[in-house]
Amino acid sequence: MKNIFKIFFVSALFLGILAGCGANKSNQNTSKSASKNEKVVVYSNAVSNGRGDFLKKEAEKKGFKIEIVDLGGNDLFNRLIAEKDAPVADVTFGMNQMMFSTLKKKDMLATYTPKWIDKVDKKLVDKDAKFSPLSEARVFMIYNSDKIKKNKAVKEWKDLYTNNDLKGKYLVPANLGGATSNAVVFSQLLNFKDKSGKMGISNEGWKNIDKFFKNGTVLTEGQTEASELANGDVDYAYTFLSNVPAIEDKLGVKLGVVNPPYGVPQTVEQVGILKKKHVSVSTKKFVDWLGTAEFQGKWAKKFGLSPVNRDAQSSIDPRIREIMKETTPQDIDYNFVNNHLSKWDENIELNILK
Amino acid sequence: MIRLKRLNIGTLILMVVFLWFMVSFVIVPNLELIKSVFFSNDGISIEKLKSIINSKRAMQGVKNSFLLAITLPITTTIIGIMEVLFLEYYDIQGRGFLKVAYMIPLVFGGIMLANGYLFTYGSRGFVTTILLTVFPHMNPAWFRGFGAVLFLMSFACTSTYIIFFRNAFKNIDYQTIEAARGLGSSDFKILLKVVFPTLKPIFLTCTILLFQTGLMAMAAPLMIGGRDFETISPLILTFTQRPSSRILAAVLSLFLGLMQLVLLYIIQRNERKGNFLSISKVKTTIKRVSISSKPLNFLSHLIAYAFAFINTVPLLVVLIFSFTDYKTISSRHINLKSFSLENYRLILTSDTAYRPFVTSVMYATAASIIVVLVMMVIARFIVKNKNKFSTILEMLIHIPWVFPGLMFALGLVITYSHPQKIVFNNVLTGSLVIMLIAYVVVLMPNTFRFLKASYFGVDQSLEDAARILGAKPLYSYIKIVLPIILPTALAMLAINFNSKLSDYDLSVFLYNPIAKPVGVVIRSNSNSEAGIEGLALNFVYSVFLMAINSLVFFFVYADGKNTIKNLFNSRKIKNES
Repeated sequence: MKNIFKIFFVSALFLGILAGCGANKSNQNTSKSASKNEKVVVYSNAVSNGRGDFLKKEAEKKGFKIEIVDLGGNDLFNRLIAEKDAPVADVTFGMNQMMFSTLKKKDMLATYTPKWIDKVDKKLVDKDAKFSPLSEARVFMIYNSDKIKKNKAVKEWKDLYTNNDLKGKYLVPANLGGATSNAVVFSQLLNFKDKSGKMGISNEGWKNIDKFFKNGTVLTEGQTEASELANGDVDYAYTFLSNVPAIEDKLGVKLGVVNPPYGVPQTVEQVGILKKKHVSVSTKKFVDWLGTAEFQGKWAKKFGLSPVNRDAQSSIDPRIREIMKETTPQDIDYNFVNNHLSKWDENIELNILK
Repeated sequence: MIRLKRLNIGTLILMVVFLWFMVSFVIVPNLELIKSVFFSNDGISIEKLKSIINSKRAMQGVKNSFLLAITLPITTTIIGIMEVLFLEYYDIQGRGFLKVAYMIPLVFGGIMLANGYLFTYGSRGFVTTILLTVFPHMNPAWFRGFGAVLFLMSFACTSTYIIFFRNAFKNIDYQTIEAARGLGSSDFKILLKVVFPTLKPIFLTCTILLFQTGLMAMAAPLMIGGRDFETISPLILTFTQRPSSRILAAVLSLFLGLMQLVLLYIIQRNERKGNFLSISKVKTTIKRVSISSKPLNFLSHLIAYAFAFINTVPLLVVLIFSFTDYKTISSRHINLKSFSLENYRLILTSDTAYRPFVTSVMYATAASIIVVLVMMVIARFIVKNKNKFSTILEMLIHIPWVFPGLMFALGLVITYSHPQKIVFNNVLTGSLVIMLIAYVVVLMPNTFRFLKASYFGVDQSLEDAARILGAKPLYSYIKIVLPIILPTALAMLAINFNSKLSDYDLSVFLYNPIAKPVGVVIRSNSNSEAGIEGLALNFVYSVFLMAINSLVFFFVYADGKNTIKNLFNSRKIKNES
């Protein structure tokens, strides 16, 4: 009797698992057979803070059925690569051109030229049409401009760690997991490019970055970079372009932006279709819609983005436009960065951060 | 003879199915991961291993983790036992309040708990603000480093003592205590010589668990350890997230895993030496003693209440801040104007906000029920059959301890993203069931440990008596064994549910787009690269999570239905009279 009891439970578990697989399989089948209005699964790192809800609503108005997977940049990238042999996503957008070119190298993207591509600066477009640009992102140093006058502010990253008064008064990344903190690092390292140096960077470059991290302070207390600045705990922090209006609005500070002589790193957020046996019509239509001036304009206005679609640029938030003028894009060889970035990060994490 | 045969067939089928599950969802994914990490295109790279050993940061991290793993079981045991004694052994005024306060760590944990402590003791926390008015020259960032982490975790990890140790303590045969007292032993000696030895299995289980918690600690060191006290888990997490650094993560995890297996082996050997048994057959409940010495009595009250306040304050702080806006949360300056219901409105009116809760509740319920039922059977089998096979089986169950959740999840995704014969050529990646499997697998070791410990509390002679009187095995199991292990099983149900309700590590790579769990939402909110508003919303999320957790404990473990019924009944009686 006792054994029947045991068998009952285990077989229930067993059947449960099988039923689970079966149920899911049939779901996939039905979605394949329905050719019209297929569900589009969207993976993105640019849908947090209400953006996802907004996107879903707007897409529904146009008759799209979408499911959004909202993940941080790194998690998103890893998940896509892990699912390489059985991609769940139809479309992914929000990662920068470097991450997308890695996906391209792994042959994970389908070729598709969206209808809006002629509205975009040709220089930004991938020549194999594996992914297409949506909006620009810049990363830069910020300070509280009510506290520090513009002419008194530092001129570039190096000033932070060569001035002893600023020791412990500026924020450095606590880890290199995100795109913003990565940009902070490579923007500086690229000034010390040296073919014979360690990982393509000269010794001096490594010494400098070491000093940058040692003299800075890290974010520990469950805060954000911006709030430490607003509280006056630090004088300098860093952030990304579309975050500025939100910070100024929510924290009631006016930010100053530092534009070093060599400029600020600019990355471009892209959209791409995952390579599958069957790329649905809805997926293509969704991409055609996502980059239109109509949607990008609304999106930009509401969330402080700066779309690359020329027709949508009139909707850019005035504050964003101001900062775009104040900063100049750094001249960066992104292939070089992409080839070295993970080694740089690893080196910093193991030997420099302490 | 016939009965023996039947037992074998049943056991055989059971073991085959369970082994199949273990092989396909524990062994294969982990092996696949090791393969993909160590034998990539570049071959085995010794240089990578060297880079770990040469890294001061990594080595210091390992040392710190080890330090925490050694000290945490000691401090938590002291606090945990004192709390249980205050509740069950000594007569302390206001027991009801203490009971509730001591149970807080059961429902309040992780990142939010660390936040609660920071908002209390951190550089802008209110305790620090008060201290600064008294000692203006003190360092506002005093709540940092090893001491702070140990303090926080010692209190946060007492939950196992409050549940399991307390359960076992209450079941002690009070007559043995009375006998000892009659022979003139002091209270302290009774505890040491009579009470504690009988609680050995629970002690050992708690020790392993705390060692593991200390070794793998993540949220507390990350948030309040700062640069002075970095542990290894956050580093493993960053390395896991970068494909090219994954080998470093795997090496570090294997190292930590080995430490745990060594401890486990030592404890298993110890267990085999035998256990004392003292479960009262004739129920005489423990009578709480009042402390005769006045100063000592005062001191116990003081400590008991101090513990209660340490547990309560961070929770209240989180609750208060959930009603304030982002600006208040970041500056910690509260005034009457800072309160609003805006955060709650945002979450309750957004159509995408409540769905993650439903998803997580369903997954966590299913996973905890499955794992408790299966482990009840498996633990019983292992306790009853002590041979090589059961030892191996026991080791297998503990494999999920070796790799952190994130890595295991990656292994699952990589293994089952193409049809595998072992799961009948199904592609599991992206399916709804894969996350459930992962939850079940990682819940196995702890569930097993506690159920096994509680099976040791079952007196074999009771079962034998039932059998002699002609009771069938299932009947005697249900009537005799089940009532003894039921409190543990129910507690495990609740604890498992709560631990997976806000899971992030496993879910992030495994969830199906239509079923997004709440842990992923919370984590993406707390990432400062995602913007600044999420932080405020997370306070609300954690209040909701605490509410769900408390409800589960109340109904599953604390027998809430009957409590409410009794409440109404007693009112009725009062009304009638």
